[in-house]
Amino acid sequence: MSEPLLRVRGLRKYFPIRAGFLGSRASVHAVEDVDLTIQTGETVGLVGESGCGKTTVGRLILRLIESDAGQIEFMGEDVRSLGRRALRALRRRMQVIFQDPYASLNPRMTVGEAIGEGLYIHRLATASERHRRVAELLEIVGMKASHASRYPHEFSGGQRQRIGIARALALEPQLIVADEPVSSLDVSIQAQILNLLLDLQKRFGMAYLFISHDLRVVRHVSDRVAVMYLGRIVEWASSEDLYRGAQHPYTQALLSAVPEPGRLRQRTVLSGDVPSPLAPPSGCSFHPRCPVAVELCSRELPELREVKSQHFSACHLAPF
Amino acid sequence: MSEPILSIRGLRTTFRTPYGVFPAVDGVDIEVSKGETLGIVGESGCGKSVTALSILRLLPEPPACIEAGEILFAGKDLLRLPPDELRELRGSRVAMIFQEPMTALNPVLTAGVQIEEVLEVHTDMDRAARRARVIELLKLVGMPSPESRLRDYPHQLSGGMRQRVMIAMALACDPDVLIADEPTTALDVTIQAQILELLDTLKQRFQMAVLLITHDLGVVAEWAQKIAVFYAGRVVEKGSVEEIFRSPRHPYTQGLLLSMPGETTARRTPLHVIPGVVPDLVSRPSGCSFRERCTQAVPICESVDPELASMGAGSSAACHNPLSAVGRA
Repeated sequence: MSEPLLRVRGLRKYFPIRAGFLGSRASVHAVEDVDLTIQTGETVGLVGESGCGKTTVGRLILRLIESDAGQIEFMGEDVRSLGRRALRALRRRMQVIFQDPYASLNPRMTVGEAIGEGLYIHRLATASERHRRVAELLEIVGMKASHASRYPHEFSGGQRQRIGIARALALEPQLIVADEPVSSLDVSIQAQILNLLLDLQKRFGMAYLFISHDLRVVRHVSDRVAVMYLGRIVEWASSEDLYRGAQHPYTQALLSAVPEPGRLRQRTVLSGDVPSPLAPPSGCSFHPRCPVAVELCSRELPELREVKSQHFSACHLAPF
Repeated sequence: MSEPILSIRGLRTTFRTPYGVFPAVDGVDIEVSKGETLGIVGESGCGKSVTALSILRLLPEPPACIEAGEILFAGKDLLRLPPDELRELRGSRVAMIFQEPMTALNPVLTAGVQIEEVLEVHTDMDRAARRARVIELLKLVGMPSPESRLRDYPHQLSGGMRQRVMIAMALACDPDVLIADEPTTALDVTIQAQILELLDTLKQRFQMAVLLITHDLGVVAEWAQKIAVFYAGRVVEKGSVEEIFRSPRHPYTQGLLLSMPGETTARRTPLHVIPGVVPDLVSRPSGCSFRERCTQAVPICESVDPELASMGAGSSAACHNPLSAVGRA
């Protein structure tokens, strides 16, 4: 296999918090020992429930927050050791789309300014070239060139997400981290945005790290999928393999919890809540909720290992 | 089929805005029977929540105004009930749970006190009896260690537990009708499954009628027996879940079903798209409000707003040019 576009190894992030009345230190284990690779032009889905660390992984890769340990290699460069100038250059090749298009666009900037901001910062175009490029980008994402002079509040949620996408495309990145890009949109608009993202990938060949809690959406867009639980990747496989034959009890439960029209099946309803990442359970962090846990699971942390060809699971009992 | 316990006829709720008066709900007819779950689906702004809030008169009036219609519950029209009689009913015989339990619960009262308050208002139980009932209710909704949890404040509970407290409050007086407005939208998918399963069990056990409001067709498919699809303040299609998922007759329902990525959609291929966007209250087109996005539109759609008409098999659709019925496999 060719050299991946992005390779992440042993990534870790703890957020310190003050707890107790003497201010004793504790930390939230947000991301723990995460390995991930993304090939050029592919879509990797990152799924999990709230607080599992999926958004943090995206931000660590973009260096919007700093990681505590691990390696991030992007196009052969060590992202974690880049200085300010090199990091800025890197950001041209790595862009982000956020969940909430209402909060992520500056309300005081016109749409044209927001989309052209990257070109301006990186001094990539003269003012007239920039206008032309903005107009072109707006058309690429299915809007009108004349929208450039308007403000974000004049647009609907779906249109704002299109503007966010145009902004991410402006610098022709190789990787776009899309963090819940359709979660705040209605079903009929969600389909429009998903189609746009797939279409853009066909035209421009960038890779996506697609972060979402919605398994239906992730299945639809991803080539490979990583499932996170309490800061760790518990399963990692091609989309088909994962959805056809999940090899981790957590993934199995997640899949069976997704309501799906026209499906008759047995539902595994997990008992209990997701434990606090402040004090993750011993051994496998899923064992208190796991329907098949054995005694070993509470003692020993299962490694992510290849249980079938190109199918990785962090479960002592896999393969199933 | 048994007589519906709750039926809404011709409900029209408007909002007064600086730009004029606009109907959020315009001529809605729905009904639900005991032991039955009616799923109400639609996209943001379609009027599904306004309908729910109109039932219990929970909308601020003004700007809202229930202009027409009747809401019949056990033979009484809730819209014509004097305020004190309505208050007696609200929270006891017709109860409601909301999407965001963090904002719906009082942050400065413990879970136990809030559940007990419902009993204090609606029953003549003494204090000891109320306490016992609170613990019984928390057990009923599957709250872990209820005796200690009742002393917790909402912020000390997880999202799933808060929703359980809300359900316990709603169930306190054995309601006949439970209105659940997006009860699981703020929850993770594994917790969503727990809560929906709980609601379903309780519905069967107490023969409640449940109005389940959601934007997620998957949720309706699995947990409801009847469905009403809302679009721009109207019911555009209703009937049994089985029938409507198998053979939708209204182009909007079909569009919604097809635009959902599911087990049968081919991966990484374009999803079906309903062109355009939902019209806002202010700029609804003449005639059928879906016609500008509709692939089936015919000239009459421009001038005449279609009425709900029977499509056979117990379902009805409001469409001049409905899709043909798909034969039973």
